[in-house]
Amino acid sequence: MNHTINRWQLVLIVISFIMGSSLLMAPNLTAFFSAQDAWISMLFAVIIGLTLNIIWILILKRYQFRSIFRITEVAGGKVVGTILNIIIIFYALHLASYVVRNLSNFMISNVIPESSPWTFQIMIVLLAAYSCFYGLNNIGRVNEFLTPFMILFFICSLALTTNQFRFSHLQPFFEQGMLKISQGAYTTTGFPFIEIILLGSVLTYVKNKEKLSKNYLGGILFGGLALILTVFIAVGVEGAYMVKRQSYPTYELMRDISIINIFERVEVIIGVVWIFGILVKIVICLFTALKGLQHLSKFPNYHPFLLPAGLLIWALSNHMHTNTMEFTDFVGGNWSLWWFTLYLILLVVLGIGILRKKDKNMDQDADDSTQ
Amino acid sequence: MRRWNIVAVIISFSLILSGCAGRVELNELLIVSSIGVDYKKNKTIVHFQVVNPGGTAGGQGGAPSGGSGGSVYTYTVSGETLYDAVEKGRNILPRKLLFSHITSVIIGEKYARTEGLAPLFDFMERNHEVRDNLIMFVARNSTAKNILSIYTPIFKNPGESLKNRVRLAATSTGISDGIKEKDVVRWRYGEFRDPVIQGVEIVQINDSQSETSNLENINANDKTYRITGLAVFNKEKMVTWLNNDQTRGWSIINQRVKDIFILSHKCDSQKGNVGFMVKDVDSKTNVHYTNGKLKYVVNVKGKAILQEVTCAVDVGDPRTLIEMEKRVNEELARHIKSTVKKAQKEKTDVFGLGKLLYNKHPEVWKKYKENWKEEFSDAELETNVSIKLESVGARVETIHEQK
Amino acid sequence: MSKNKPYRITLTTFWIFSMLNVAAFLSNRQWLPFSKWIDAIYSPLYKLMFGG
Repeated sequence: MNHTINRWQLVLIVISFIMGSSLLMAPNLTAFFSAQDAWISMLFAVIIGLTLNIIWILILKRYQFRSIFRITEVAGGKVVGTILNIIIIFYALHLASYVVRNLSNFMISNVIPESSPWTFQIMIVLLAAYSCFYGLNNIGRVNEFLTPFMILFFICSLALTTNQFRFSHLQPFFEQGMLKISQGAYTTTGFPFIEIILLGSVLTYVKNKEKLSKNYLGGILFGGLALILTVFIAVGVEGAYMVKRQSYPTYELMRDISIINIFERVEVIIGVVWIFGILVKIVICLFTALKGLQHLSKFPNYHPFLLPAGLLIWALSNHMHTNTMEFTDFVGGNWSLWWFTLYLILLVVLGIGILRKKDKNMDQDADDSTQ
Repeated sequence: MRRWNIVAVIISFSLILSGCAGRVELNELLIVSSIGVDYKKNKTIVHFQVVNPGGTAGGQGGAPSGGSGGSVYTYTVSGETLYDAVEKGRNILPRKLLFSHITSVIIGEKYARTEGLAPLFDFMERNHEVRDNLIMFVARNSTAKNILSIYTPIFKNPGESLKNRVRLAATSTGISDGIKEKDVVRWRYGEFRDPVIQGVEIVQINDSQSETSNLENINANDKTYRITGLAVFNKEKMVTWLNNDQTRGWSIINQRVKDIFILSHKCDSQKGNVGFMVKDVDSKTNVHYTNGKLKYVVNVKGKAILQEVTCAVDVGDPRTLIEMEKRVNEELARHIKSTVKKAQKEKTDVFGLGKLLYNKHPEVWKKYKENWKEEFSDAELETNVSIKLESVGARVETIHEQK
Repeated sequence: MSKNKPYRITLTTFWIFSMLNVAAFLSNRQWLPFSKWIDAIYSPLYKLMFGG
């Protein structure tokens, strides 16, 4: 189990994590509220998300980018730390199960309705567990190899739709009013910009930590810009009314690619990009949960937890919600607040830790980042 | 390590085999190439034109001889709704229908006038196989059944032939890539505007059109379609047709035009015509709101290329060319005006002028929204057409000058 | 590799939690409706923020 990754790999993981599952959903989540101003919503979401992450990374920096589970214990003491760690583990598994559910929803509604959702759920969880089994370095390298291609596919696909882009679909600007725009921004702030605080467990394995904050934020910025671009083009090509009603607007957008009647029906490419992003996201969530469990158990590795964690993700993803509409409704309404709570709790605990100068005795503590 | 090898084998097998879940083999599928919808005594009659894999083998082009049977067949099913008909169709169809490759949807004129568009869209949008960029047609003065029961030469698949026809007809209709399903949905439900759909009719009716033997006959006019003007809908129900000139006007305002052919009748008070091909047409519509009055200005720019002169004009003279430009501009302005007049008479905003007002002056739109159809028919229109005659073609002097 | 006490506690608890969820899902019962609990806490807040 080799967990070390380099900074470039981290940037790509951040990009995959941000673009991952949001790629197909972001246009709908924003346009549902703010119609043609969706891209402004997305812009706000990126700005808010970046601000939150700047604060987060500055605090982690004070603790020398140790594993988040170690930091909570140092900052909050044994009891508070343990409780917080359990909460983080739950959040990670919970997120993983939602991402898994998201994948199977997509496959069932848009790609292969004849198939069973279990197929996709079990396969992706198996793949994620397999990836975690070999450690972080493994997913780091796979991601390093694939993400550039994925970004290329993504950019090409978007570029091919721009011949149908109509500026009039985006007019009039700011017509929806601030409330609607911020409502659109609300959902996409939590998903994915607050979710990414889970990477707190990964940062400690980055080899060279000098410019880590810049790389991390750069990755978020890039992912965020890609999402803004997606929303912008999706609404500009399809029109707000269409985007509003589609469950996966980016996928629908790619269905319209038609270059000289030969290059058509290539939307599955964006599906592949998306599924890969989802895999990375699940792996990171699972890895965080496993690392947390390992930390709690003080065991040299996390292999014993792989099986129950995989089972739990699978079970959770199914029994959380009975149907897709309930799922969408829940995510739209509660997701950002739910994640913001974790963010806030961690911020408060770690902030108090800094005030009590706990971050100074970080060095003396046993180092767990070499495992 | 042996244990992990087994696990790896199991995982890789399940990875590969999970692709088989929900599989449908190619020889279990029936590819639908067009759908037609007709109205008959409160029932929806749906026609599926399906591709016969044996009949289309051997590549495109040439008469579909050989193989087994015709290249396409049309099944007709009746049902309460579109999906009901699809499901009832399973009783008579030999294979499972595949909707991914539909090229066109043809609506019978009667259906468009009585039932309207609304019952069609939900199934087409919701189904994951149907693409939203399929081209829509209204069967002019006939039924979808007629349009779909005809074998076409050159193209073995009539749906494809029809799709190709749209692009070729663009120089006369102006609409270069057809009216797509998503356009209609967006116009009607997303942009407060009334939709239009291209019309199609059979050029010459012949009793044996639906037999492949008809393809042996050299006379081709009885096995082809004509793309006609646009069918105008008031909300969902069809109300009237635009003629060819009005269709051009519509497509200019809507920036659908790439190339368009213009035939000018005036030829220096002599008998004869001048024909132009207008290229790179770019139009921009602006809305002005002053003193409670709405005024739309359509600016059209483009380049014209002289194609044909059948009267004695001095093509070499620059002044003649300016005169010609004026003619072209007048002609295009006439098209645009006549379209808008027609639409205003029918109180159908088929240009998205309401959406334009919303884009530019959202606060004014809020006032007008309730009563838009009335306001629209009172709106003023101004056209500024400035087409530049760029080239006179390969000859300068016309033969008609030799007298 | 010493199987110490925290290890045994964590693993057992986690297995139980995990199996509880699997059982709840397979028997189609709402034993641990996390989403309902979360919804109960946050939907009033959401209403407060955006109204309805």
